[in-house]
Amino acid sequence: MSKKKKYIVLITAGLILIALGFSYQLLDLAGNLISLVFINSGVIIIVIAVLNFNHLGAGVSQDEMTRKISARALSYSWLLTFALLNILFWVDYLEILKLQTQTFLTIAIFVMLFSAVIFKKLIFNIRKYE
Amino acid sequence: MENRIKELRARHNLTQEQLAQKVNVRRETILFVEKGKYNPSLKLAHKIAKTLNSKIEEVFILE
Repeated sequence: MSKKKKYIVLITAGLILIALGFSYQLLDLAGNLISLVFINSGVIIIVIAVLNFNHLGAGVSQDEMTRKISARALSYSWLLTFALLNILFWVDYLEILKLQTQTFLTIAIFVMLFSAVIFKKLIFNIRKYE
Repeated sequence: MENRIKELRARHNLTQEQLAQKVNVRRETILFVEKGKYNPSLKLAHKIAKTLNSKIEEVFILE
């Protein structure tokens, strides 16, 4: 299967899962948890497809420098999220702010996603201009 | 680590893009390797040397 076809199949599968999740919720066919599993799976599949799409233009998906930079960016992102969750835990524990589980998860998801992308760009640019 | 990629590339009349395609990496990777900002893996160094019809030690010079 070509890269483009694989990308289209992944995006379609992701969208179908999201649509299924929302339909289940709207039609009340299954429990809330099953709908959420469908929606989250769909989002994850689309994110993976979009991240891989970066390499379509270059035609090189296994470029070693890109993979090393991505791996480093992901580790920094993981560390940042870990530190932030620790801070949030203590903020909640010491009752400086009362946070709900959903807020914790939303913060973790967005910080991980955006910090990985930002770190990747930063590391690439540092290498470019050093 | 210094290298002679630019010189050998010119000798073989290859652009960075062409060399990148031959060794299956992005052009930026070749650019960074040439500038000494990225040390390639042994596999990539071998591929580059082979494409430039040279030995690894002729292309990459360990300081």
